[in-house]
Amino acid sequence: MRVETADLAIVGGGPAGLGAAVTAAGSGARVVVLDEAPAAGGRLSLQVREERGPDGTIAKKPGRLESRALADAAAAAGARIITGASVWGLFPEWELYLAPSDPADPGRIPDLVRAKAVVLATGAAQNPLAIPGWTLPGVITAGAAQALANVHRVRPGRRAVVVGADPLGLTAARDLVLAGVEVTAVLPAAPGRYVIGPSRPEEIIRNLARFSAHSPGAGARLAGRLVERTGIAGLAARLYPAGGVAIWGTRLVLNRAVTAIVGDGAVRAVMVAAMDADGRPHTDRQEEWPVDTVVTSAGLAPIVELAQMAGCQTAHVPALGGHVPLYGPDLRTTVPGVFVAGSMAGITAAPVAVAQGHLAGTAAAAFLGLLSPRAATDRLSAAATAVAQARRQNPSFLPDDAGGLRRMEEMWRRTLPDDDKTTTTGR
Amino acid sequence: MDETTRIPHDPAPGAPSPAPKVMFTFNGNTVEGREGDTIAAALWAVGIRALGPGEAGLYCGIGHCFACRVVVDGVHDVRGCLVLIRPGMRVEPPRIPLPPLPPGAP
Repeated sequence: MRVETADLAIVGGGPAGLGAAVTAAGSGARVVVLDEAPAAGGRLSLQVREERGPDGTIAKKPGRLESRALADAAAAAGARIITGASVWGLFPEWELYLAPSDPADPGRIPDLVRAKAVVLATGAAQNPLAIPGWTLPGVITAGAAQALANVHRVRPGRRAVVVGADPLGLTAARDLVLAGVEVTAVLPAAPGRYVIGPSRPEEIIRNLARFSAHSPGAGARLAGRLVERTGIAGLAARLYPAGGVAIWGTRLVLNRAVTAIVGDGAVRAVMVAAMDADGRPHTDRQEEWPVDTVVTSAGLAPIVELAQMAGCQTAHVPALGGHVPLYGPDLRTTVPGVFVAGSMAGITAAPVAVAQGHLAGTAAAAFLGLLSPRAATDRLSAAATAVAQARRQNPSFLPDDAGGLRRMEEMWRRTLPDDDKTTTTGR
Repeated sequence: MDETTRIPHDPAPGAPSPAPKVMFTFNGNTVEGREGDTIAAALWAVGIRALGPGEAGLYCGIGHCFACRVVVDGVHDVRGCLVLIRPGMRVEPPRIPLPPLPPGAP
């Protein structure tokens, strides 16, 4: 059995994991980063983000450049990044069991990593959208569509529809249009037992407006267009233009909903019903919209199994995306030596995940005794401030992440023994 | 097989130039991919989306759902979205097709 030892094992080589690797390795820890994919970068590699420069101009920046820079910085600081390795087990204190994603070269990855501390940065997965026909070839999640278009430079289809009128769905639609796909519309799924997320136009508009209010460039224009053309959210649903609102080379349609996907062995069309302002579909009159590809967005859920295996206390916090591990101001969990960062602790934007990674990496270095008490206090404070700053500058996909964060602080305070409750928070 | 669906022009800055070709097989047929393609992406690019009878094929793209699993050089249950193509790689559909899946709630 091939065993590798380290001071700190980081599960997940996305923005949060790489941020933690840079900081912990930079503080002198022997760091191993483990990721299932063939290259590090996680969802950051998928993205083409918009950024506002100091002079106010908007630039499109491929996330893959940023993720490569982060991975290079982690390696330069001495971290070892092992790709193609799934961590299927985490046992005290601490043993990480690995399985190769690619079986061809089984000797390349260790069987087991032993470490004194762990940062879990496993991210989030998209919720499935289980409407009839959802298993037909040609139905993919928004993230998969972004990977095809932005990473592999493969056009996801000729004509697509995005089902799920939320920030991720709209972002994916924009990327599809840039990739040369005809995107018929972005519209909701009709409400049903397996449909997660709002269907009522008023709630959808409110979520999108809140998201785009903080976005540079086209995002802000979306908010402005929605509000000015349709009035305030409460009235918007009733005054919503019949053909939808043009945005980013496609249409945002909120008075129609997809009820099913049809085809024989492949996607041929979606069935679309009219939907009223209360989010009720009129299924007696449906249209067939021909498409060859369906891209779904039904929310993101944190991936927390390893935290649960380690014995971390978790809680269901819908405002953060689902089940999340309880964490403190320095991203420690209820289990000493186990820290969390990124979307697995609550859905966050990539720059926030990087900042959280730096905070968790600092906390792990302090735990390992690599920092003097003074240095630990100073660096933790600076890192926490950076996380708060990143949150202010980067909109969350979640409609109420502020409420979710307050809830987490409240729950964390309740886990502490009474004499520890004077802790300051660095939210 | 459908026409190729490669994107020739990258509107985003810092785009990589097209990578070298890599030849592999799927179900006995030769497929041309590019270095850096995952199995799922290379097949999608030549119009192959269904990875076997009764199979959904690529869905989540992050190795979470196992809908894209294929047999690679005789080894089962390889996630096609997580493994890069190699010259001469032999990819086949899963031997055991999925049973009929529930259609999803109305």
